[in-house]
Amino acid sequence: MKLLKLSFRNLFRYHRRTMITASALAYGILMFIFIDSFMSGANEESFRNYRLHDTGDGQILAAGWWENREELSLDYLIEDPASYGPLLDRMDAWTPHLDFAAEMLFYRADGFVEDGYLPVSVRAIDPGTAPLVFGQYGEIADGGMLKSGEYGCLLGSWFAEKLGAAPGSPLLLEVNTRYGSTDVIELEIAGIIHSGDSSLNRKAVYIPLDIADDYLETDGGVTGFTVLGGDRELEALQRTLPEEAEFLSFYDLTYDFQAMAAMSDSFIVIIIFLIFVIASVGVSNTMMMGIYERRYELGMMRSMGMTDSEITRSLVLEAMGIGLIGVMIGTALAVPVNLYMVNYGIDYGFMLKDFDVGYRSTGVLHGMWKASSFVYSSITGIIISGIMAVVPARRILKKPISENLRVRG
Amino acid sequence: MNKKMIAVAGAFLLFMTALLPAQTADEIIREMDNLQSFDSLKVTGSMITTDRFGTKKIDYISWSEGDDQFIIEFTSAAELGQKILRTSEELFLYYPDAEEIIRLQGAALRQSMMGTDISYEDMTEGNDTLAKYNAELMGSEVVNGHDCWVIELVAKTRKVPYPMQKVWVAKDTYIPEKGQYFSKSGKLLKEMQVLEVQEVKGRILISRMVLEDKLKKNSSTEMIMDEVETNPVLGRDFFSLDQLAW
Repeated sequence: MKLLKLSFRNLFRYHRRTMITASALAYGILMFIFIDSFMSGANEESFRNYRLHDTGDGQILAAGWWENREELSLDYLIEDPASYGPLLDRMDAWTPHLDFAAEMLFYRADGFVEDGYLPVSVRAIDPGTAPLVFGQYGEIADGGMLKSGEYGCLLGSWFAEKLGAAPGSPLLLEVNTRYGSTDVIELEIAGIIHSGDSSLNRKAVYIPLDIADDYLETDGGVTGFTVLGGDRELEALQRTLPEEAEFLSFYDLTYDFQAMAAMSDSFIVIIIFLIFVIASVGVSNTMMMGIYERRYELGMMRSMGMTDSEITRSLVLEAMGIGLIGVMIGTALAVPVNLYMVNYGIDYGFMLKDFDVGYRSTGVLHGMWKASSFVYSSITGIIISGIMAVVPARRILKKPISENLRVRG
Repeated sequence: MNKKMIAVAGAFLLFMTALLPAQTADEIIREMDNLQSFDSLKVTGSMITTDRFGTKKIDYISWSEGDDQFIIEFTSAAELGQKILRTSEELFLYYPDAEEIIRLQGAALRQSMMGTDISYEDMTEGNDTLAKYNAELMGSEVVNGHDCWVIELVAKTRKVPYPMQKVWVAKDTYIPEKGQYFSKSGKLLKEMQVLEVQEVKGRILISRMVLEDKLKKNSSTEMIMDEVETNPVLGRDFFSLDQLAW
């Protein structure tokens, strides 16, 4: 208690030094909470968008398709989708899809920005069941939904914006049939989707499944089904699938993103570590200066009978006090910053429009409240501050008392 | 009397012409294929591509054997050492910088070869047209000053890049002066025109032709064959993956 009092007094005796050191630490705490909130928010939003716009709770895919998904090959198809009806009806909702590669051709005369062509990956959907599983069909910003039997297509908003496309504009999809022949699907843009998913806005192309089936000669075959259902239903589905198909859970389907997010997290940990190192160096430096300034005082305390261990503890407690002040300032600053992040976010749309950074958000990346990051950063800040006082204290206490008393600070 | 004689002679000529065996579309196509087929062939030439980005020239050397063995090596600076091997079943690309061989299949075959209007799947077309298409003689037309048979080719199988083709075959040389390639739904995809021919060991060969992608605006590729060597000696494993990476 005596030590605590001593440390507390010293803390305010050198108030300018205390505030400078605490500010360095507060900055570290603020950055930790900000980055952690930002990255956690981006991860959560991406996972939500994957589920809502791409993967559902899981997918039944033709065996071999997932391993070779980069090829977008029509060699891997579920030949008789109707036979899956009894299995799928146990799910909350399901919809079939057919993924394939195409070359999109468009002309200036039709209102596009230029005469051009682009390789695209296209998803053919069942307009009847797709809106029951996916959210993007309720996010059509311009135009309307696809209809079976109609030569329409839906485009992502950023993609359409770059092309100068609008509902009603005609475009061509040059495709390879399942057997290798070339064919051209003449389509009209039915609608433009602007969803909360940057990836979808940047490159989505949807057409009706029956039109794709006709042109690609898939004879009713589909790449797979996306399903919504509880864990028990999904497990049952997985057990009863025939050999020509495999079930991939949400976690299997987002494995690449998880790996990227984990890598990104590691990177963030390094950044946070560096921020704390910088803050710690600040604390250490200030403590060292403070302790050296007080060499005479410490020598006097030692000569009056205070043990080295008591002096060290007193200095550590003083440093932890600085840490506590830093934590309080950092947390006080982090709360309004995080409040802004959670409610308004930072608009990275200008960047996400052109580059796939892996995260699937609208472009406005929101933060999230994480009590753990407040607790961890506070504990870490206080402990690090305490540790940083040990080295200079030991160094000064290694010297004989007479040497401490020789210099009056 | 003279008029009567002329009328009789005319009728006789018409009768004799009718007796002559008329060439069928199959025979014309077979002759056209034969003219373009060699035991082996080495060609040195270039491809000039014109598109929205401008004009680009790519030099190459190609070797072929029979209907379906083919290697092309690009010799211009930007593509130096890149090779494509086509065998009866497969198509492979070799990139010297990556020292990697890539097997092409599925949708990847539709990709443009080196930015030209020739797709990889165009290269999978052999010279055995009648094995894949039913031919029908549609009539005659003059193309590039040559009287040509107009023949429509409709695919027998779904495994061909172009389900329908139309060729204009010169009656005197059996050179396909012009070709049009259609999609399954009947849309014109590409058009080929012969610009020059040359005689090699008594046979007429195409030495310059242009291929236009009719879906892409202002997109064409001119193929020039500068030197043609017929029946060069090629090793037994010449059309192999080992040769590709050599």
